[in-house]
Parts: sequence; C-alpha cells; structure tokens
Amino acid sequence: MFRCGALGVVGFIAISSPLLAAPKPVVLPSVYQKLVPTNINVSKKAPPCRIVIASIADIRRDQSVIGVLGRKPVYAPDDLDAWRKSIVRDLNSRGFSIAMPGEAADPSAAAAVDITLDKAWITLTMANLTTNVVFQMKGTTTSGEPIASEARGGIAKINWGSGTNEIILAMEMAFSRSLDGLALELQKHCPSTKA
Amino acid sequence: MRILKSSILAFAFGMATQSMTAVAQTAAPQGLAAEVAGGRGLSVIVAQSEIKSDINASSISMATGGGLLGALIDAGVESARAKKAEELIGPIRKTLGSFDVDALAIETAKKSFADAVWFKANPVPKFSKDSSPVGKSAQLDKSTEAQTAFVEYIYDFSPSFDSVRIVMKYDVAKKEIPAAAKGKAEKRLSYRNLVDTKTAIAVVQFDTLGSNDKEANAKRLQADDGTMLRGALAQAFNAIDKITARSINLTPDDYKVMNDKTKKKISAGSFIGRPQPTDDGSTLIWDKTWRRLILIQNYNKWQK
Repeated sequence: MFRCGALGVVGFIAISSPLLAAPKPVVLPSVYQKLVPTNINVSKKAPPCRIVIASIADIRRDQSVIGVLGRKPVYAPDDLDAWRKSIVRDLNSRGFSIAMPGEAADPSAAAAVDITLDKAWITLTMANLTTNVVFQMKGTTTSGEPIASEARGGIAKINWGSGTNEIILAMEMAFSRSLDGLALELQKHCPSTKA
Repeated sequence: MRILKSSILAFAFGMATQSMTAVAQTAAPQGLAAEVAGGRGLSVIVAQSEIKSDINASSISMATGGGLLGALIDAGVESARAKKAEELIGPIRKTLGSFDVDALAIETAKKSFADAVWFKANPVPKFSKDSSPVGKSAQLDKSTEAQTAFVEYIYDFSPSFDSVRIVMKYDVAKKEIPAAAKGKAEKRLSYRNLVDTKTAIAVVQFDTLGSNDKEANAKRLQADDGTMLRGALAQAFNAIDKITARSINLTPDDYKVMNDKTKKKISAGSFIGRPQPTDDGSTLIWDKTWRRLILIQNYNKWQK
C-alpha cells in the first residue's frame, strides 16, 4: 500500500519552511543539445534516407511546463516551435535526411509523416528523477503504406540535487530514447539505414 | 561530503513531492466569507502528465543505525525500485492511451467547489502543470480576482500496483502581497498567509488482483485494455470530489465529532485514523495528525 506518516514530516518541512526561498526555475535550452547519442545501429556507408516531416504538433495541455521537482519548476524554452524542430531534426543523426515543415520537400523521400509531441515531463519518485517523452507519428510511405507509431522514451535515475545540468541531461535522455523509437519505425521503410 | 549534501537535498526534494499527502493544517479556517470583494478564482493543477507509481522506501539506513553508507545503499535500492516501477508502468500508460485525466481533474474541481457552502468562485477554472510557488505566484499576479483556490491533484499506483490513489490539496491564496512579506511575492503561498488549505485522499483498491506481486498486477491492469484502470480512476475522482466538498464545508463542530475518542482508531490502506460514517459501506477515516479525510473504496464494490 501507499507510504504515509513520518516521511511526510520531511516533506512538510521542505514545503513550508519560511527559511527556504522559492528555488530558481530551470528553463531547458532553446535548442536540443544532442547530449545523448542514439542507441540504434545506423549504417555509415548507406546514404541517409530522406523523410519529409509534414508537420510537428504539440498536444500537451500546458506546453510551457515540463514538471516540478519539489518546489523547483522546470520550463520549456520560450520559442517552443524552434525547440520542437531542433529535437525532431536530430533524426538526422539516426541515418535520415529530414525535410522539416516549410522546407523544400524531396520528391524521392521514402515517407512523409506528421509528428506530434504528446508528453514531455519530469517528476520525482522519492529521490529519483523520472522523465518521460512520447511522440506520435502518422504518415505514409511513397508506396502508400500507412505509418502509425508511438515512441516512448524515459529514464529513472538518482536525483543528486535537481541541478540544471542534471535536469537537462535527464530530459535529453528521454528525448533521445523517444527519437530512437521513431527512427526504428522509419527504418522499416528505409532498409538501407540499418547497419 | 558533497555526495552527502546532495543526497540530503535529493531526499528532501523527493519527499517534498511525495508528501503532498501530508501537508498539515493546524487550525480550521476562521472567518471565511462566502464571497470576497474582488471575487475568487479557481485554478486546477496537475503537475504530472501521466500516472505515476509510488515505491516503497528503503530502510536499510534506519536498520543499520544511519550513516552515509546506509544512506547510499538506500538511494541505490530506491533507484532500482523506481526503475522497475517505470518499466512496469510504461505499458500501462500506453494502455490508458488518450484517457484525459487532466480533463477529469478540471471537471472534478469545478464540481467540488460548486458544492461548497462558503466558497463562491469563478466557475471557469484555469489549468496549469506548474505546482511550484513561483508558478502559483505568477498566476496570482496575472489573476483579476482577489483570491485564488489552487486545487492540486496527484494520482498514482501503490508500489504493488494493487490500488490507485488520488491526493487533492487545495490552497486559497490572496493576490495581495502581505506587508510582512517585504515584497517577496511567493510568501503569499506560505502557510501562514493562506486563507485556507486542506488535503483529502481517495484510494480505490483492485481487490480482484488480490496479490502483492507487482509484475503480475501490472500485467493484469493491461489485460483488459485498461478498462478496469479507467473505471478505477473515474471512481477515484468521483470519490475525491465527495470528500473534497465535505472537507471544504467542515465546521468546528464537525471536527469535534470526527475527533470523538470513543471511535477507536483503525488502519486502512496504510492510513491510520478514526472511522467516519459513510452511506455506501466504503471506509472513510479522519487522520487528525495531518488533518485529512481519506476514503478507501473497493473497485468491485463500485461495479455492482
């Protein structure tokens, strides 16, 4: 069953002590930092597979907030559009050549997809940082084959102090795993990208 | 030393999140008026984006008499438990799909506060995922109302995935910064400056699971395409609505009845308190220490 009682005392002190000033918010960098390399195998010899990203949507209910760690808020950067694009663009490091919305689409592209950022959040599970990112992807290949996939990435690790770099790294790990999920699905339609 | 300091900080921050269940209130709100000049706003906060899982705390440090080594072992054990919980909960989250818990929370808060005797608020709530003092303070700055009720919800599984819990905590804060705060706007959210604050908890147990095997329970929760879990969450929000409305309207006389020492304390769902009457046979206890009502229901009972 659930924990309760004495553990709450510490939390109560942490929350209510007037001696504790409100912690400074953490704002994620305005562009994806590519701190975490991909886990998937990519052929270095094959040319990158061309993919058209028709749109990038964000259906999170409160897009500016990533989460709250104790009393410390974690915010997304102000320019959400540029931030989301910079994340999706990292599919390029997974054996693809991405044409982003608004960019000239390559007629020889293997597929055209719409990508939706469904979840991107951080929380604490006791003294552990937990991050989760979910992308949805829908589209079609050039041969008309439908593509529909959900890619989830996340980690749980010891929280050493809710430091800015620690938080950014934890979020990038989740984004990287989620991008790996998208890449694995796209690889099915671009066999040459597999190592 | 740095690791020790970090561990303590991490522990404190961790507990801060987990302890929403335990924010105490030392006195019943006094002199509360149904309406205030400038009006009241309602703001619903659900910081999480998906269901979470509670984990059991490691007590190796306590058992071995404390010390840095014990604390580090505890941190390692809890980290492994958190990883396992995330591993088990991922497929359940996928099963829940587009089930909109945020929308459920908004509707629940609207209903709970619409039924309040003393609290008359703007019936159209705002919504945020920012439960931090900085975030709430920013909301107060933007608000056109004199007071805002921040209604926060946390929902999670028990460590063995055999029940779901919803914790509701509301704080009514003033837009005006008190003189004693010396311009520190976040102090509007400190306990002493709140107009009112209360906590209530609803637990729905899956007695059909009937096991402490978290892996087996997690699998069973996915087996019916999430139907049971969605039903349990809806039931838990319905339950939290009832006890929130009841908590809002508590009078000093109600506290006297609830604290009646002739009612022997009981333990239910790992909570301890004095049993209170209910009309549907579910367990309602009053935890005087943390001044919170806890409703524990069985999922099957609700189904009948």
